[in-house]
Amino acid sequence: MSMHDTPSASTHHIGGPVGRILVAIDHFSRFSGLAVGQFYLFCAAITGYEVIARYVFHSPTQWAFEMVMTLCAITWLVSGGYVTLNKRHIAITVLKQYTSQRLQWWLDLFVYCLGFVALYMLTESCLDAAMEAIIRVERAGSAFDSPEPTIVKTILCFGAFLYATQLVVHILRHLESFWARAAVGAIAVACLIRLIGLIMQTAFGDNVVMTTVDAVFSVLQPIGSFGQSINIRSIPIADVTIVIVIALFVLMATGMSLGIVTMAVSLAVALLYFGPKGLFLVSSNVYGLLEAYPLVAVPLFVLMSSILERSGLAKDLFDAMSIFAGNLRGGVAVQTTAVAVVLAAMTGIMGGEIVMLGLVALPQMLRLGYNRKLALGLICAAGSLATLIPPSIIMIVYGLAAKVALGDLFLAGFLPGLLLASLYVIYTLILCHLRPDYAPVASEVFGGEEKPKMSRDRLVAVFAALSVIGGVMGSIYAGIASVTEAAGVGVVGALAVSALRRKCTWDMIQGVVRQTMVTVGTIIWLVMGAVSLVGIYNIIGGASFLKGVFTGLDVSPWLIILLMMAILVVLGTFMEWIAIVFITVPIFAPVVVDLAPAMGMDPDYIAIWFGVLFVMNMQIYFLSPPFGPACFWLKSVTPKDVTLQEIFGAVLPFIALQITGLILVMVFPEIALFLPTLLK
Amino acid sequence: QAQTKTLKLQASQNAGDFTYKYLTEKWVPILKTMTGGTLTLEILPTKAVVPHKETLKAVQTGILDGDLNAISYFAGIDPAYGMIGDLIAAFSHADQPQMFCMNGGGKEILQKIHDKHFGGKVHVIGCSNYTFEALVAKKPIRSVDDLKGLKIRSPEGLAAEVFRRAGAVPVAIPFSEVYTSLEKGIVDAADASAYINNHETGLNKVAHYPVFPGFHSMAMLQFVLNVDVWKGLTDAQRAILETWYIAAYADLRRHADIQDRKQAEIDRAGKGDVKEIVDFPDSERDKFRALAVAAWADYAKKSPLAQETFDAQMKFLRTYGLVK
Ligand code: NA
Ligand code: NA
Repeated sequence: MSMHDTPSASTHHIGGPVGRILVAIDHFSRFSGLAVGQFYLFCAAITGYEVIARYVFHSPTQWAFEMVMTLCAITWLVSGGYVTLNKRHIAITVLKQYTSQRLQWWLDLFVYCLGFVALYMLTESCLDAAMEAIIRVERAGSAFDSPEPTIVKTILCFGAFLYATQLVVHILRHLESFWARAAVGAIAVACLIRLIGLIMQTAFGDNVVMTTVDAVFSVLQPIGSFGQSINIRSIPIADVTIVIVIALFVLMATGMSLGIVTMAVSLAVALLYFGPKGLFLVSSNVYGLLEAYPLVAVPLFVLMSSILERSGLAKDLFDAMSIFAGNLRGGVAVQTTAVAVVLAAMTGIMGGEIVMLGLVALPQMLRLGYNRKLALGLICAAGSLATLIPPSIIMIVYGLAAKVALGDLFLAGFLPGLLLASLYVIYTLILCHLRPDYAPVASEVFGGEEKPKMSRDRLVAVFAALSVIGGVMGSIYAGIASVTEAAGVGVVGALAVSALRRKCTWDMIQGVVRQTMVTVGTIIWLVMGAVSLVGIYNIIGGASFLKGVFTGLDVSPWLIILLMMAILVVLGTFMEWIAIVFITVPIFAPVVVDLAPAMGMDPDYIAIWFGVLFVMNMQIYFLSPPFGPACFWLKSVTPKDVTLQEIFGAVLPFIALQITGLILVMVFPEIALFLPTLLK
Repeated sequence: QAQTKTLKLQASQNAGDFTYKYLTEKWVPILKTMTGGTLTLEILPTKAVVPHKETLKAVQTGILDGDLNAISYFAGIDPAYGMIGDLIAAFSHADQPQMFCMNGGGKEILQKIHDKHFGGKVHVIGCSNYTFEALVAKKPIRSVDDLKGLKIRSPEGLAAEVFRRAGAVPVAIPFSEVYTSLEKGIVDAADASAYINNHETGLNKVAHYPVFPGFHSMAMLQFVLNVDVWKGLTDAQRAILETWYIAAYADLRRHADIQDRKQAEIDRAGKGDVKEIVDFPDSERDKFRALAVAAWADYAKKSPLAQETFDAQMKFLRTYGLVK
């Protein structure tokens, strides 16, 4: 079982000239993805330069900001081809596992085909915007006034095209029959001709190619006007909402990548309400996302943690923290939690940390004869702290959706993160006290205390890494640098640490660049699908409808918050976090801000507090079955005999602890708001 | 009972902003009353439906019925938008920008610019400023000479150019980072918002020498509708919308002006956060405007429509003796 959509059916080899074209497309996707991945390094360097220019030379640049935005946007979009080639888009494949081989084959075909249709429509819509921008040479309108909008709009069109092309390759390899392949090939070629025709039409006016193509595609006209013919605007928004939710769930269950699910639903709603011109809603919102400066922090934080990860830091850190273990019963569990907290302060995304702990701490615990369930559960829970203890990608995306200051949000997550870590430690120690066989101490196993020896170099490296983290977080809190700039400086610092560890090789750098490009590429295509759905839902009156539902509830504001938390827990069992953020936050956040007077809180702070509750809720989402990503990650590095079912069983007590922590922060908002208030 | 027609517009403010609330809570109900319940507006906050720079295209295609957006957002499409959207250092009174737009030929030029870029599908009802901005500053700026070497946040192209000519160092940072940038001395001054807004967002707490009234920018907002939507209204509804817009924005601006002055009075009495409200003398305003005029003239060369806008603006400003 995997959270990525690995194909269940085998792919077929295709030879001949067609086969060579397909291989060439593969090569192009791979090459372009790896090439644009390098841009992240430039972004980090430029950001670092900007900070130096500002503080050392007192002459900030006019260009750094726009340059970094453009480079990031290019990487996000072009990496779509690489991510698709390697089938790394995030999808929920749990349900698909229980269907027959034959059904799976059909499901995969459906997933590819719908994906192609959605991406083709996006391409066409973006092409229109791109051509317009190129003809005007649309500029940023800023002091630097670069043609950034023209470049990004053009690349967006290209990225969508590359993604769609790669899907055609998948479809062709998926099919067995020659005639089916021929039909797909013909459709793909027709679409390509149509795109070329559209370009020619914009450049040279109407032409014979376009008239012919229009005639062919006119058979699709009834689809464009279908919404009008059923008079969609007369259907109550409540019913439309239910249909949208059902469509989302059904498509997710097919194992379709989640970005495509939201994008396909967005495109369908846009078509129904506005006809073909409605596709602009999708392409413009996708484009708007690429101009969100805080998002640039995402690849930089991922890059920073990947570098630290590959510097072999986890092992060093674990050994350095062995002072916590001593001969205490449950000591290694305490040590593991301490390491998890430090690693959490270096990583913004869940996954890598669990893998590191799974590789370093789990073998140690199992060797010492720790209860297996306790060890598995602890690693999943403590490893998930990465997104609660700052930096946190979830907080960045939440801040974007709820329009909350990121620095405050980061600060607010710190104490709740330590609270959860303490709960894990207390629980483990009590459990080990009650059941001594759950956690033997070293002397019981080896007859003597064994202490790992650490060289001076390794201690220095640990110390340097801690300084980088301290510097990054400190500069954010002191207000010296923005979150994005701090992340850029963090990358430079992490490289210095890895150089100190003599791990800073060309291969290592290429490895982390590839890893970052893939991770962020999957996230960004998911976010793009989600934002377009939000825009459409707002214009058809959905947001005001849902807000009305909440404000119409004549109950205590606390009950409303509880209800929201309950909804998040339920969604978290089976949905991906980005989808949850974008579906719920734009609706919940304004309602919560409106509740501020009734709850005796400051409207600014209530949004931050709710953000922390949200992220704590996502801690539960990481563990809760059936879609518990933390458990999937741990499974990927555990011994063969550990089943996913066992891990899911092991995390249950920790979910109870997470809920306890959530309730504590809900009842005592000070836990979250203490630090932001203190440092204001 | 006639059915109510609802026009969906996207504004340039967030849902919690004063301007947004004042329009939705006070003036939208008035429109409904004026039209006998046949017409109302649903004003959506910024970025609710499409990104802030994409509203005109959404109006053109009919996805939005209209927008209440800031004109300078479109400066990247044609410098003329930057010119009409925020002619830096031009005006001497809060009512002048709306007068230029509604009575001095501004509206007609804006219509012409929209017609060129949005296929004649966007109808301009009006344009106006909604406030007279105050400059946020950490040190007293009493003359044009004081601007030399001053690091000032000004992200827009034309504003940055004028400040550069005055010897200042323009810095392009997003609005969300103005507070900490002032606090940490990354910038000494910032092009932000009205006095009352700067007070409420706490900017005056970190920068104690606000220049009020400001001498710099004056953001212009528009009210446009999709042409087909406009044609679908009755003559009465159209006349009401035009009149409503003029009344609503004049009221909004004057209301804000009184708020500004009330707060300034509190601050002058030493009860607020500021050390001194700096008065930029008229002679220095004229000097700064003279620098700006040269920058406008160069900026106007970037497109024919920018030139046309510039000529109309100069004609209006001459009537008030603001330029020679
Ligand atoms: Na973290
Ligand atoms: Na879950």
